Amino acid sequence: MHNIIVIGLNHRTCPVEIREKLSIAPDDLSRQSNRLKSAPSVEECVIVSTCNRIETIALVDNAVLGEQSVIDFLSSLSGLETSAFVEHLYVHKGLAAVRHLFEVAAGLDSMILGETQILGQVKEAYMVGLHAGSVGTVLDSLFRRAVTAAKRAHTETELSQHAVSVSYAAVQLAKRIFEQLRDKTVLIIGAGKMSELTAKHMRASGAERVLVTNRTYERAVELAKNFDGQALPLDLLQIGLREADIVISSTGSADYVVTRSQVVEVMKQRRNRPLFLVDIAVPRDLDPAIARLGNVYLYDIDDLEGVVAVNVEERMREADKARLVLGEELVAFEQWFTEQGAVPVIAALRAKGSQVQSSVMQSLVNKLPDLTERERKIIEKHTMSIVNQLLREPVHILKEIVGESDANVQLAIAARLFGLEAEGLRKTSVLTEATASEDAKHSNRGAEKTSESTRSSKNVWGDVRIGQAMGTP
Amino acid sequence: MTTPSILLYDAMTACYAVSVLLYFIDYLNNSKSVNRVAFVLLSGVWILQTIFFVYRLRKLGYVPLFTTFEATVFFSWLLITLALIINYWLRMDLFAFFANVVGFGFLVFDMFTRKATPDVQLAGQGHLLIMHIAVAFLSYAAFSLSFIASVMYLVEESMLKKKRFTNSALRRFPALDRLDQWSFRLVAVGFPLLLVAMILGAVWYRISYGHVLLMDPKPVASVVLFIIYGMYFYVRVALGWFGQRMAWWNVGSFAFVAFNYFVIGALFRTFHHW
Repeated sequence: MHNIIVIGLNHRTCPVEIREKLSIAPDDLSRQSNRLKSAPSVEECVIVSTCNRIETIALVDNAVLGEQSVIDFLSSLSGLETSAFVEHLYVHKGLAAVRHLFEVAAGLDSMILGETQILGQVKEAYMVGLHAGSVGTVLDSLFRRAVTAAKRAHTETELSQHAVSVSYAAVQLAKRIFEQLRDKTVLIIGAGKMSELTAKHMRASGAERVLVTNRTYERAVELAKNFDGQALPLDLLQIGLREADIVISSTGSADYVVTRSQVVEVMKQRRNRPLFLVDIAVPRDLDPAIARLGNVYLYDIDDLEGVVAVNVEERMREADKARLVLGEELVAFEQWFTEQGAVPVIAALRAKGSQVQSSVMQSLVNKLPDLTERERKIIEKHTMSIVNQLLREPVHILKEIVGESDANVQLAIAARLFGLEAEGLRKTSVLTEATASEDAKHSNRGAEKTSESTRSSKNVWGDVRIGQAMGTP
Repeated sequence: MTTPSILLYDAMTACYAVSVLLYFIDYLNNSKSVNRVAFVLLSGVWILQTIFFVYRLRKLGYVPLFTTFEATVFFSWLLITLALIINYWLRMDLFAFFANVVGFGFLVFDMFTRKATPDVQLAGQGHLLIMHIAVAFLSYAAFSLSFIASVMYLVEESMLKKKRFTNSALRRFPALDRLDQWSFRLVAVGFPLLLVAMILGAVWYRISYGHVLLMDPKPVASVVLFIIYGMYFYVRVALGWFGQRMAWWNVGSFAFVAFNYFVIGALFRTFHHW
């Protein structure tokens, strides 16, 4: 599988100044995919480009040459000398490359561990490659598998279920108190960025009604418009507190905006309906003494960050579980990939079978010209059946053979037994093709030359390899 | 008991034990597959118990509710029924787990304290008595589940208040308002059932013995219980209590249910065993 390679860089390996030069605009991706595909040794390719990473997944017929092609491509893409970015690159080959792609798709390699956005981006990149024609059989199967693996990782573990941002942690906490946020009212005190973001998350989780209060009323009106909410002058804060179930406060005030006695008063009016307050301001807006009141839940920025810290650890634990799931899919892909090695031989075998059958049919029809249409059809069907029954077992065994260590020799023997040498096998599979050029490289010091010729005429390998295997019985 | 029913009973108890254990493992390790197996096993226990109940009914020729043992089996059957419903339809698996622990605890408690002397003289005394017992246990089951919801409320609320977000434990809890709502609803189910059971009991006694039983400890305790749960509604509806205080009230009420069942039933065994 060493002819699948992944070369890329991400937020961890590469500073943003270089990363930004290597990013590809979405509308340019198709063109660039084609450009990379036409590079030396590259058979199939997909490019995943996001603000945090660029990944080039390629199927090459020669790992060394293919790697160089991809690096050259990245160099021309960025306009940078190879030396400027090569130290930030990682290169994965074979199984490691497949595993890397699976982990990227599942968000295990992301800045925010377990995020799901990247899966969409990977899918998108695959679709672009598919339309551009840079995706062939192998990458098609690989990407389908990667998407399946990532989806399984997300559904079978809790990888993406723990809030890892402060604003989302607030939502998570609110859901410990309220089963449904749908009929709940959110009150924003102080129209800051953070409170806006938190309110947005609350809205996304179902909260329908938003009240906004701010020292400058105009700003409150403005923000309220974003949420289809109502603005409230600051002196009517008490009314807001009475109405709200969830309070998010982030003002620049030096003093407490809401005091304990205010909340005591409000709780009476609310008939003890629970009140959830989030204080994301520093210095704090909400008197910490509020937290001790019954049915009132108050959390400050430190509490939320504490939740985030615990959740990050939790995700890391889930990531280990997710890797096991990915491992299962990895094995499945490997299995499929290995089986592809038998495809050309099987295809040749089947072709030969039907060729024999049709020539027999031909001579039969010549000898017995009086056959009716129906008789002809019956004979046709039965002769075909002979061929199929004869081939059933060999085909099955061929699929098994490819998993064994001396698969190449055995396949060659099988090919020889059925006299499949030249023409049939020219319908090549990329897998065996690459193996062949590797073999050639080992036997021949002039590796470049061989690969060059392999590349220029992609049908040559069959002769080369079969020749080798057969020349040394 | 006959051999098949002993076998049935043992198989049921074993299944029950394993199921509770699996629920516990699932709670610790958060494993969906373990949860599913536990659920299937519990359904198995339910089926076995149902068979056991019906088998005894046909064998004995009366509804087997007259000994503490029979009543306990019936009670744990009720709890399992409710636990299965909760697990399946309401998706509150942790709640179901606690319901199981209580149900299983009951069964085990009975096993070690059982005096296998069926009070046959009570048997065959008509449907009124059977209904009295069945309805009383139904109300106890509702109170038990309500109690569980309240305890869970108190645990979760204390964790939230102390800011102990030690994740995995807290995450499996239903939201506070849901627990509060369910503990209230279950009391609202248990309360009228208790009243019905008391009336049925009184009527049955009147018919059987010709006078109304008043000064027996059991009816007295039951009336007190009825008043305690009545107050529960009062503080909620009239005083607007919510959450923690309601939960504590409910826990206290249930303590009296347990007192009524175990202490009064055991100490003053005039004619009431439970």
